[in-house]
Amino acid sequence: MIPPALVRMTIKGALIVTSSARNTADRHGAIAVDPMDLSKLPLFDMMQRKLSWLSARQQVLSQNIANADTPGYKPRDLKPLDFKNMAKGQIDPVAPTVTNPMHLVGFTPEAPGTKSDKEKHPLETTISGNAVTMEEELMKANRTASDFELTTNLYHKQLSMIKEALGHN
Amino acid sequence: MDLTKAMEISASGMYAQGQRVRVIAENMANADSTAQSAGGAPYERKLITFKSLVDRAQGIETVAVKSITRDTATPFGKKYEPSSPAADKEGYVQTANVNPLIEMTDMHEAQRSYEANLNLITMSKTMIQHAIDLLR
Repeated sequence: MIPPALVRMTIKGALIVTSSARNTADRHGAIAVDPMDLSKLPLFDMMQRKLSWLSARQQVLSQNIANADTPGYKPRDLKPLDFKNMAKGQIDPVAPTVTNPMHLVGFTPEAPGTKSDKEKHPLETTISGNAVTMEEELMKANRTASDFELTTNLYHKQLSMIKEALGHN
Repeated sequence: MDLTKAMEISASGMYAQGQRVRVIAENMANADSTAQSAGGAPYERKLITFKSLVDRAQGIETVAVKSITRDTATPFGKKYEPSSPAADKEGYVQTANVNPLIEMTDMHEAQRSYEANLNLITMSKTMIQHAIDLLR
């Protein structure tokens, strides 16, 4: 049993460490040394991006399936997530700051890689102009779901490895 | 969150297919509805069309019923039944322009689309569950 006073001291210490680390962090997005922020670890950051890309894709595929009988509808898909670019460190979309209430808000650009494009070469098109192939879309959706499971499992494993190193298990 | 939006889109697809099945059921139920009087028109087959609906607030594209119209292109059928009150001078009664074979095929297509949407909802739900399981 750890004495409560010691716990309090430890928590305080951790707080000081994190806050000072945040203060020294580079504003221009260089490597931060905040040990408590998991998204600052490249691997966790990549997994987070992958998860958000997968859920965005699931949304697009749902749209395709829902519109499988809409005349003139062309299926959409996201561009594949490029791990090479991710490793280089992509910059998150930046929203303009409003310094005056008279300023227009403008729009925030979408997160990189989550913009959907119409498929250029659909497998088949019906007389009504609909180009959704149910089998293809379902296969993609299945793939997305299993990739999501894989990524969450990886996330879990990495997290438990860190916990193991911390000795909390 | 994208996954809840995905579920919303699939739900709109299920609703649209449900409407389609309703129209098909109307057609099938009235497949034998003949004219009421001589020279009167029998039941006219109904058609349903879909459109994609852009929800700008959420940035999603759902599906909705565009219109339910009458099928004026398919001609009515004729049945020889001189004893019927709706029979014309030659003894023929006009029958509805419903072809059960077409309706059944349409129904199967609607069912298939409904199942696909349902599968996608289940898939999205499992994905959300996996994300929640990270807390464990």
